[in-house]
Amino acid sequence: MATLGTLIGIALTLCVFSFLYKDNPFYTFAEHLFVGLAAGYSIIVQIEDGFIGTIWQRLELSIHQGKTTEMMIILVAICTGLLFFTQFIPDVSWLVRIPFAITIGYGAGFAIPYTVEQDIFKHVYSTIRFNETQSSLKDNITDLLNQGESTADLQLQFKDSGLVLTPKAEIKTLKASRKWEIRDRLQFTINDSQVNQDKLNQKEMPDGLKLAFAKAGFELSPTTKIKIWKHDHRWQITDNRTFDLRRLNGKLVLDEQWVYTVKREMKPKETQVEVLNVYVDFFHRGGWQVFNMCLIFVGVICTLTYFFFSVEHRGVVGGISKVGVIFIMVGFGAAFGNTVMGRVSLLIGRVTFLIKAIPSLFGG
Amino acid sequence: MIQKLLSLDRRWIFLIIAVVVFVPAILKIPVPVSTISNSTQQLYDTIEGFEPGEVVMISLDYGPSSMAELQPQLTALLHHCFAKDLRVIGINWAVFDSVLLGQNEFDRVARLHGKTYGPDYCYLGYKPGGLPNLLDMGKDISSVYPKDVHNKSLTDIPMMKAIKNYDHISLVVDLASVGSPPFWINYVYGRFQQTLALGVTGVMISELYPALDAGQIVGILPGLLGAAEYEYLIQDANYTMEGGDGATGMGIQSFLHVALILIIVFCNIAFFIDRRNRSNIA
Repeated sequence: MATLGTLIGIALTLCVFSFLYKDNPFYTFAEHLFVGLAAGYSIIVQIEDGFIGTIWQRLELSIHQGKTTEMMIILVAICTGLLFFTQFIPDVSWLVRIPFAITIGYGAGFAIPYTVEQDIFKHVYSTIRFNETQSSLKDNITDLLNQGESTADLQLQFKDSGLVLTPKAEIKTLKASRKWEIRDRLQFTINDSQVNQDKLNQKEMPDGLKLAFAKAGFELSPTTKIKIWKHDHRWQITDNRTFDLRRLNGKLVLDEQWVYTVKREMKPKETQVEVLNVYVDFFHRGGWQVFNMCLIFVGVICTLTYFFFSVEHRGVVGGISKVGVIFIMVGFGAAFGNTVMGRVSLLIGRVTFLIKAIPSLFGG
Repeated sequence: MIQKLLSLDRRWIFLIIAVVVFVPAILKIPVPVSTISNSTQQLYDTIEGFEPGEVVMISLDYGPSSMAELQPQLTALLHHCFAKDLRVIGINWAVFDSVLLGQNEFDRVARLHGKTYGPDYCYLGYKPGGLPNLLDMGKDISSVYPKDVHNKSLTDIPMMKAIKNYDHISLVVDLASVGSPPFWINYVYGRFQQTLALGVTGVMISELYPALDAGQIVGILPGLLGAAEYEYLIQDANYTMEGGDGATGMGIQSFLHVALILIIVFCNIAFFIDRRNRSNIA
């Protein structure tokens, strides 16, 4: 059976490649076969997993279990969905507006805030966050870590600077990515009386959590803020600190934020305790990243200027927009290069398949 | 002569490309990986930092047409996860025709690392529904996937007993050849603050780098190149001895790139010579 599958794969690959010479019946056959199979498979999946798996089985289950409310909700959803087909009946075709309105309303309601936040705000912020690149400490610290200083020595220095790390803390230099990282992991237990849900739902640091951190050797500064992502499931504690590493060039000030991310792990309910893993990740940007960020900033401004048509592109504006054109061309070039690489990868995939598959037919 | 070259039948170019692809593929000429992209290194570092038992979800949002680029990425990621004793969940959020591709590869790589279905990994497959499925998994994965691909209830899968939603997943990796990454970024990262990484085709990579710079994703594998780099990293760390298709493919690709560059340069020279000749005649 596997041999038959391989044989079909080889035959169809050659049929498709034959188009490179010229259009021919073998290519047409392969093309039609592909379209037909894809459409047939798609319909089966949509019916089996979509309608039967998602709708019908749930409806059946709710009827068997006598859950009237759930049954009604599913029926309303089915009826609303069926209204899509009213567009084929002219007299009641206006009813199609109802499911369209719901779909568009639901989609837009979800899409707009997240798209604006993630596609616009986040990217604008990443373009202009120069505060993260102004630190002059990078080289000193990178040198420090590259000197092969032991983790214990570094921990001592961090401790003197006000950051208590556990003996298990890992400090490593990520040379390839031009960053360095300190990762510490604390594990301790907090019972529900120390951190109850009500307190966590307020945006303030619960005393119990503070105490638990201190007990684990982690002293949070008075400026600590707590951000709750989703009720009690996950929260993030942000602690802004200033450190003095007392190294070579005197005072070294780290301007990044130390972020303690706490994720709750699911435990059996009867234990009544939560195990918290505290991760401390600290990244420092490297020299090339500073250069790249400056380049991106200049590129964005120049490219936007090129597309700003309310002012005539002459003089300074004209110059900036010309630089913008260069950035656009570089962008298109990179995109085209990646596209060629992607397409070529597909060809290589097929060729590799042929080279592996043909000998396998003869027991190779 | 120049005129003849400029009007060359394009099928000669196809033949040159075929020779340049087939010869290194048959001779298996090795091309070493000299540098690792930041984006690949970041994803590797993220997974490298996980403790045994942490959960990685991989969404296979690509079809067979893109498997040449993305399947080697999946293989490399699975080797890394299983070697580090991480638990892995496989899903097909956006594309239904790669369920078998993913399922078979999960089983194959898991076998190599002595992992068993259920406690160490599971495959949930495809469910129609799109965006609502992504959002629902933030509340309860079993509401979207009550059963896995083997029609086994999630409550009967040992590892899924402790995994309810994104809160219990350390990393989601979307391997995509379709437009799924913006959905994962906007909704799963945006709404649930889920740590996210991508593996995408070469065609898509340019438009997704800003997400890496903005901190929305922790790493991104750029097509076959990303797969080759990741294979190098995991082999360097002795996580697997299996040679991957990524490195093989990039070796062939290197020869092809040289051929393409030469063709482009040669054609441009011919074009300019021809233009000069025409202007001289005029």
